[in-house]
Amino acid sequence: MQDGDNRMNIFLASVERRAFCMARISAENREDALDIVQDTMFRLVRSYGHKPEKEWHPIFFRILQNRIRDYHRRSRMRRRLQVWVPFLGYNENGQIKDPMDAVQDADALDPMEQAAVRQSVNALEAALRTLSVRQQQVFLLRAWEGMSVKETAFAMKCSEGAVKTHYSRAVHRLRRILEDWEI
Amino acid sequence: MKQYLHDEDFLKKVKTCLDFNMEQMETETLVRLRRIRHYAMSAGKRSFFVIPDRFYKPAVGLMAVACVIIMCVFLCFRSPEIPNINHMEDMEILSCGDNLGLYEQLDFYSWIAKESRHAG
Repeated sequence: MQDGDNRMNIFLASVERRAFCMARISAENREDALDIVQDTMFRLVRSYGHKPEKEWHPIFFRILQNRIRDYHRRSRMRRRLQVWVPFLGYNENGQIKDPMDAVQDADALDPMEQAAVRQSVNALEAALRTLSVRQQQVFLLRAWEGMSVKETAFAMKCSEGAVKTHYSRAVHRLRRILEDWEI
Repeated sequence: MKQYLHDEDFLKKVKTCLDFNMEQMETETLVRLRRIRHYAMSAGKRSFFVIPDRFYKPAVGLMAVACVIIMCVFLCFRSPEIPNINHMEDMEILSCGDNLGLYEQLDFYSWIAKESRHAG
């Protein structure tokens, strides 16, 4: 049992950063991304911890994709609510306004310096955000996580044909947006 | 073929960029991720008997409905309370054809008998 826990811990440590980055690209908000990752980890440990270790990886990403989709569903609902109840404290992204967001971080790097280093990363993230949620998820799972078409189809709960279509469209769109992109 | 190689190159660059972004993650975020992982591990282990969420709410609802139905059935169909008939003596008295006046004054006669015994 102790060994199983240890293996689960190692597995989660190996995927947590990647999962967070995927969630943040999709959610555009660090706190929401952390919530998504926490929920994903919790569900994996609670409901699938007893499964063979080799199944954890696809299941983890399947849960993650479900959480991301749920997040977008809830955001859409919040935006609709905001139309009817405008005094609810949501910003234009459908997230709750936090006064602390307006406070500048004293320890942050110089904005110019930061911009120079992260320019290409930001451009890529911005381009990724222009994709639909499905295309974004397929692209990240295939191109970054290195999943096969079959594994991606399992994680996305869709057919392999749909994965190929989404992936192809995502690649073409990104190539068009990032035509002069350099890293 | 050329397009494919072009895509491969592009995807390699994307992967490098995303990996770089991941490596540059803020310390605070890393600490929080570690905390989240420990929480998930401990909270996940605590729930020994796991009911999947999709079954949990319907199961609780069904149990609540079943309890209400059982209560209703119990209250509606329970047999009316039957008075405890262990007063066979009373029945005998009522059924015999004797003058009931004697029995109505029985307490008084008993009291007189008791008083006379004390006096004696």
